[in-house]
Amino acid sequence: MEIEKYKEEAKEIMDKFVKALEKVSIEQENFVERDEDRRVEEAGESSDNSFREIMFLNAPLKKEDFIIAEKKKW
Amino acid sequence: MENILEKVERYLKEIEKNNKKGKKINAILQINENILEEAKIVDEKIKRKEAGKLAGKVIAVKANINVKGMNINCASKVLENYIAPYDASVIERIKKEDGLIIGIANMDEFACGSSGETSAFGFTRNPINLELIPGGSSSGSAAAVGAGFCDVSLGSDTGGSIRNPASHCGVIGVKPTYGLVSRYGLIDLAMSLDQIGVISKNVNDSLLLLNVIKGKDKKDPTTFESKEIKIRETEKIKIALPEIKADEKIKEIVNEKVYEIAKREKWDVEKIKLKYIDLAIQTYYPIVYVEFFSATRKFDGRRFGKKIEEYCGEEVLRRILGGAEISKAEYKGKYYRTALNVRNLITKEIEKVFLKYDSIIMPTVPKLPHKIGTKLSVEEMYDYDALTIIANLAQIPAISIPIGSINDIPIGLQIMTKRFDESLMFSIAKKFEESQK
Repeated sequence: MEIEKYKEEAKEIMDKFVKALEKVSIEQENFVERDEDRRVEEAGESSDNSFREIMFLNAPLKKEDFIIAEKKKW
Repeated sequence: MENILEKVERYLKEIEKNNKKGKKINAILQINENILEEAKIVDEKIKRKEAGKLAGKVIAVKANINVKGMNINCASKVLENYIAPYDASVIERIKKEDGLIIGIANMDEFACGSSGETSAFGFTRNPINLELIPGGSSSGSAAAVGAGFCDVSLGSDTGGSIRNPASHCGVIGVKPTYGLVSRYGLIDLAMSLDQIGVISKNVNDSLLLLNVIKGKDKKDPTTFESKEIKIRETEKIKIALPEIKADEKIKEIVNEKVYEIAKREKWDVEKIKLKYIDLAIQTYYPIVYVEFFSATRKFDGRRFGKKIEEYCGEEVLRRILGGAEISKAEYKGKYYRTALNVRNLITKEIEKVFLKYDSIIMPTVPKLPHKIGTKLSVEEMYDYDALTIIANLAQIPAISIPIGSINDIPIGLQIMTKRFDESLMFSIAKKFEESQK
C-alpha cells in the first residue's frame, strides 16, 4: 500500500484543519497536567475458563500454556 | 398471534431471501446460530410470565461490540478470525432482559467511515434504494432495521455513525449523552467521543432498548447513573434552529416540519447563529486521528488478530498514520491540544444555548446519500459529519428521526438536548413521529 501517500494526505488534511482552528482565540486552556500521577496497577477481575479458551483460540502463535510473541523493540 | 420463535424464523427467512437475490443488502455478517433455541426459551418464559423487559425483541449488533462467542471483526481483515471472549456490558444487560441477538451487523471498517462502503466484507446497500449508500459507520445496523431483518439494533456513534445511516435509511437513530451507556466491550474509535446507541423503526423501541442498556457500570468509569427515560409533556418549550450549511431542499423540508409541529404543540422557535459550528469537522478529526492511533496499538498481531497496518483499508491506515504523525513530541500538541481547546469552546457555546433554549433542531445530514462507488475526496466524505459531530464534541444526546424525503430518499431531522435530558429529546421526537402517521 502507498503508505507515504496516505501519510502525506493525512498530514495535509490535518494542517488545513489546524490552520482554521488556530484562528480561534483561546483565552484559557482547561487542562490539568498530570506529570506526577501514575495508574495504580492492581490485580484485575478473574474471568471464567471460557475466556481463557477463546483467547488461546484467537492467538496466532501458541505453545502449551503460552502465547508466543516475537522479541522486538516495543 | 406470532410467538417469538415464529418472529425469529420470519426474520431469518427474510435475511436468507435477501442473501439469495443478486442485490444483497449485506447488512448482517454473521447469524447467531443459537437464536432459535434462545427464542424457544424466551417463549417459555413469556408463558410463565417471567420474561424480561426486552422479551421478544430481536436485535442486531454492530461488529465492534463484543458478543461472546461471535466473530467481532469490526468489518476488517485484521480481526476476521477474532472470537469475542466476553459480552460487552450492554450485551449482558440485553441478555438479562431476554433480548435476542440475531446477528452481527456490517459496518465501515473500524468505524472509520460515513458511507458503509469500506467494510472488508463487502459494502452494505441502502434498503430504501439499493443503488445508494446506507451511510455509516453503523451501516449494517441501520440497513438491518430498515430492511426488516430485526426489530432494533445497536450501533456506535463517534461523529454521527448512528444518526447518519439512520437518516439515509429512513429509521430512527439515537446517540446518548456521553457517559449514559457503558463502552465496556466496544472496540473504540475515539474514546472521548464514542457512544453505543440504538436504531429502531419507532421511538418507543429506541426508548425501551436505551433504558435497558444505560446506567452506571464499574467497568467503564466514564458512566453515570441516570433516571429512567420517559416521554413527558413538551408544552412551551423553546427550540433553537441554527443557521447551517446544507442542501437547500433538505433545510426547507426540516424547517417547514419544525414550524408545523411547533405551531401545533405551542413551542417557541427561534433562528440562531451557532458559533463554531463551521469548525466542527476541523475540531473533530485531529482528536479522532490521535485517539484512533492510540486505540489501534493493541492490534499488533501478537495476542489476537493481525498487525493492523498490514491488513487494514485505506481510511483506517490514513487515520493511523495521521494520528501517529500529529501526536509526535516535536509538534508540542499543536494539533490535538488546539483541537481540544476549540472543543472546549464548542462545549461552552452549546451550554450557553441550552441556558436559553430547550432543544436544538437541524437536519441530520447536509446532503443526500451518494450512489455506491461514487469517487469522493476524503474531505467530501468527512463533510457528511458536519451536522452530527457537534453533539459528540459537546457530549450531548441527539436523535435522528425520518421526516420526509426527496425523490423517495429519506431525510432525517436531528433533535439535540442538553446532557442527560434524553426524556425531553425523546418526547420531542415522539411529537414528530406522531405527525408522520
